[in-house]
Amino acid sequence: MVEGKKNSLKFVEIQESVLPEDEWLIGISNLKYFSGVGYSMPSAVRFDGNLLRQDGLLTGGIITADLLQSSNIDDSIELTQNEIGKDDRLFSGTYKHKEDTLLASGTTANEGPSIDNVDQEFLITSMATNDESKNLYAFIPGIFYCSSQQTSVDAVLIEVTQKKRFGMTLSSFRPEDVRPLDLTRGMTLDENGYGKSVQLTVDTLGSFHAESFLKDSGISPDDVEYCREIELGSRLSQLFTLPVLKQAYAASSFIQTRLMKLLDDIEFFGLLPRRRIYVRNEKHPYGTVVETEYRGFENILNLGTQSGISCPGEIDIELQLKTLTFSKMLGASTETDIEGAIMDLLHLITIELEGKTSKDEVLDKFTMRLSS
Amino acid sequence: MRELENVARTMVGNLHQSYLYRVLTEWYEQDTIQIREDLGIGSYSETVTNPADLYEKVRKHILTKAFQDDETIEFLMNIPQWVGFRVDVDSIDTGEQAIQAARQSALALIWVMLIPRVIIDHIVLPEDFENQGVDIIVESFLQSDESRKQLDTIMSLELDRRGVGTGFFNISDIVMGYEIDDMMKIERLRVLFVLIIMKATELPFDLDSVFPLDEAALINETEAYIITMHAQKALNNGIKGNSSNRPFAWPLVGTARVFAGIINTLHVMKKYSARMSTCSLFSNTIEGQTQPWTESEFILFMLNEIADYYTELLRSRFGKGKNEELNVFIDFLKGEDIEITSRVMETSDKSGSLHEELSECKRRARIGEKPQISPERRFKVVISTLKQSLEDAQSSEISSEEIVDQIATLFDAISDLIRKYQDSLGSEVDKFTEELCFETSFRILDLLGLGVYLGDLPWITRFIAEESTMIDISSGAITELRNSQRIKRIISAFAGAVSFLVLQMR
Repeated sequence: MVEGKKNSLKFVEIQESVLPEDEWLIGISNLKYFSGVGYSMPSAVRFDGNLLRQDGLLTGGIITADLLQSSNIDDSIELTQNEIGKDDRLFSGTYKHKEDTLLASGTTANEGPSIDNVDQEFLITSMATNDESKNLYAFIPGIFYCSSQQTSVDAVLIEVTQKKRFGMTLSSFRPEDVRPLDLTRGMTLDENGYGKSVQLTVDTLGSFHAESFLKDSGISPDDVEYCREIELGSRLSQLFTLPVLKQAYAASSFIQTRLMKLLDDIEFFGLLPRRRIYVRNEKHPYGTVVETEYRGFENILNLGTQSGISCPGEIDIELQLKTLTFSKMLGASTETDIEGAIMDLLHLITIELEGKTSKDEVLDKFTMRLSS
Repeated sequence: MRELENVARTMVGNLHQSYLYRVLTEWYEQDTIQIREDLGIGSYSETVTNPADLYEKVRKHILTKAFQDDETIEFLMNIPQWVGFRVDVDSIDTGEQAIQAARQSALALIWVMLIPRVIIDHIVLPEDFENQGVDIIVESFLQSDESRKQLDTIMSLELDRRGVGTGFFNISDIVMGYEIDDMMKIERLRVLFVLIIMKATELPFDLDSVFPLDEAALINETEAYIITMHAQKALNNGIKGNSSNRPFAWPLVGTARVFAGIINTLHVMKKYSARMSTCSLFSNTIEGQTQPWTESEFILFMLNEIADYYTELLRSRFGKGKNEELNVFIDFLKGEDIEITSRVMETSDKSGSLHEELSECKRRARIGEKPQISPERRFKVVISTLKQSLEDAQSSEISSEEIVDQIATLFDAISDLIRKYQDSLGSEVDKFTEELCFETSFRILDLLGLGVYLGDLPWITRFIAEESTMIDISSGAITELRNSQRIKRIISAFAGAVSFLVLQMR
């Protein structure tokens, strides 16, 4: 397990767009863990212990990720010519019931209906082999609260894709959009409209409103020559320098709303794994929350042998994610996978909070230290 | 010798036009007692505890009265130190000595700032600039102590002849109260003069690349700066005109004769600006190679100067957007400047065809034709205008209002651009808008030397967007966040954030 420096855990915000109604993630993470954001290339297909044969019986299988996008969902799966003999594993399930039971024990209980036999494993291997997607994923482990799904997750994964449109490169992810929310002090406006620095507490969060700037200035909207945002920017610039604006930002009501949701969530659910991660990729351009299982973690309890992340509901996401590895920068520099990083981060957060998960205590933990 | 006397006569004859000369005469009428009173310095005989401080204080006092903008004053205060001179504390014992030395040195410095401007008579045509003896004066400045002494003598004689009095002109005193290693003195003193003259021309220069030049190159370079400055002034005057004749006072669009004069001026500018190796203003750098501007680039430059003149006119005389015809005319001129230039370059009678082109623009504006400028082109025009004025901002004062004005125009141009592509962008339009705004913001910040604040741009933008929405909601202006407004809201949020960053840093 990794023991990080105490102060490297921070509130972190991840912004997708500048508009208030769009997704916004806020959470606790350690950006030093990957020295910023973890980037990964899928390594070659990794073989779990029980996936022995890679030369699957199926070739030319269709990646399910594409299925939803393609209209011809009824396309038949192309089978290679194979003599059906005694050793044909595709039909083994039919004939060899013993193998079935053996393999069923290798997976933990899934919710909902699931088919669990050796042939599915071959199918999956085959799909994975053909999954040539080499996209980069940006990965930020830590407890995050997602604004549009209104739930908390164990990590954020964003597929980095780039498209050229009219000479502009559209990137699905910008490193500038992930930033530590260095909360030190907040700010409130006194009766004269001057900013006053205050200690951030649960009560003083959200104490700043820019509204009064335009109201008190005595100008009517007709007088505003430029668009209101420019007017706002120039008025703020007359009163605040950049560091002071950051205090105002920290004390703004929208940070308060989001931060309180995160703090509520931590207070209520504690620091156990959420068994959910936020994934944004080509299939889910607006992001989705995926249910996950951490097999390494569960197996401590049920003595299984498998490890790595699994997504029972989204088999193709699981296929993409389980091949990802990341180089971690904290502690001994080694490769880690999604599950490992999530467990490391949860451990770090648990140590840091020392079991205190009330709103005030968590907020204190991540602000007091910086100001003192 | 004879020639030097002639040039000296011209310069002295032109002095009355200069504001700096009036400042100088005031100082010569005042003695050190006045300076003491101004600065609240006490008795005469006291030995000063810190002569260097007093020396600098007096210098600053005199320079502040002569020059208005802080940047120039700061440059002039520091330039002796940058070149390698130090205040000579050993030679200054009393306060009186410090004040005397500082006064002499500051006044000589004002003279050096003044000389380049009066060296050419304002009635001389640009094509005759090279025969006005600029090189002779520059040589006298830069060659040696003897040549400077000679210049002092001749100027004093000439001033005396006009009844001003002797002992008035002493540029040799410029380093009075300063010391430097004798080994370096000749060279560094030369560089000091060169840099002050370059500053006087208000053309940007690269300080570091001045030092390695030898004497001949420095003389050549300095002459080019002075003549380019006068050519540029002649160009501005050619466009602005004088009280009796304003060739570009709307609805006038110049005449073939006016353009003939302007083109002659451009030729002089082209010839001399090409000689300046330490100035980046009239050259392009392509793949590390510096190329002086071609004739067509100068014509393009001139068209933009004329367009700027009309824009100024529109703002001051009619109020922005109040004269639709002129507004459209300016759009034609700015939007089609490249096309106009290339057509003009093909003809043998450039001045005639320039007049024709402007008349044509006026005709089209008058019959209500709208300029067919594609949004991309407009975006490019706006961003290059902004770039130009931000570069000017380094040498002259540009008001915050004007910068914000231009930022607003630029983001307006983005709106047009997006609107054009909205359909083909489909669901990617938001992302495209954000990316374009981000890139554009980066260019603005970078131009202003604020590139390091790019990392702060996303959260400030978000902050502005949130607060603006909040104001709308609490004032009851909106009850829901409309999707149709998304693009506009993204663009204005970025515009607001850039405005904050730019204004806050000023």
